Amino acid sequence: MFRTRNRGYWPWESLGEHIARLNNEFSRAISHGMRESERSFPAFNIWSNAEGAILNAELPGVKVEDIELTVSGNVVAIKGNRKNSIAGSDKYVRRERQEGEFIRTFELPFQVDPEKVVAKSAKGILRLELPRAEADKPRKIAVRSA
Amino acid sequence: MDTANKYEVKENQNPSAKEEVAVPEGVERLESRKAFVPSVDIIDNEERTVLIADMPGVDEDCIDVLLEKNVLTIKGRPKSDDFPGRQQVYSEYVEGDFERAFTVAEGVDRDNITANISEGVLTVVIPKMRQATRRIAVGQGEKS
Repeated sequence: MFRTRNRGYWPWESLGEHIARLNNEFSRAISHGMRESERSFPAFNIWSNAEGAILNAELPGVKVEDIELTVSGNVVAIKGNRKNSIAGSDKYVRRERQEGEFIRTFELPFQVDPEKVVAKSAKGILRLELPRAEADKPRKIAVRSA
Repeated sequence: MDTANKYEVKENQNPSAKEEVAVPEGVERLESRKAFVPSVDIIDNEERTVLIADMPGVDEDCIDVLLEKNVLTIKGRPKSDDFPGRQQVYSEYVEGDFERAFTVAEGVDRDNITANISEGVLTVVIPKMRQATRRIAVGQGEKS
């Protein structure tokens, strides 16, 4: 029996084979979706109130000095490089940790005051304090009856 | 608040997914907090094996490195972030514990394993024993 290997669909295959093939494709699609390199790195969480936002990013092993932070209007960008050090006779037995350059850009729903941005890191978590620009804050207007 | 729901990531990437610790079939976790498998690098040379694990939020006060028989277990329990007066408006990672276990080969110098954590990265150095077997030269001689 011959078959065309490079074709996705072969109408004469048995139902069992057909299901097995679909399963394979399905799990391949899932594992592809979960591939390490496809994850957003670093991952972040944001807390907010009327005064501004706090952004935490999981960045183990990266010092705050090694991060390039750009704030422009309501857009914040975090750029950096996570290098792994490996000496001459060392060999990798396992290599799962994210490495290399990363950049993540985030759009906030308000203008950030770039002068007041604070960046610090502790225990491998980067924290950005992003205060809302005064001019951008909503103002309460007293309503008087005429 | 007028701006609560408009946070958006500009690039199109999949959200980060930490892998949860698997429990044996029929067993459930007692704790409500999730436990995740930390990403690791393992590097090796003739003298030692080094295990490097990403455990963001973990420091020396909330980590355990245990060696029991030939299983090395690393566990970290970071504190949760809490910002009173603020609401979480966007999330890509879930805070939780880190747990992972490794089998350690024979011929490891169990008494001299060292562990260190810095900036959320755990490094465990596992030295190897000096070769215990000695090669014995076999000479050629007359039969007695």
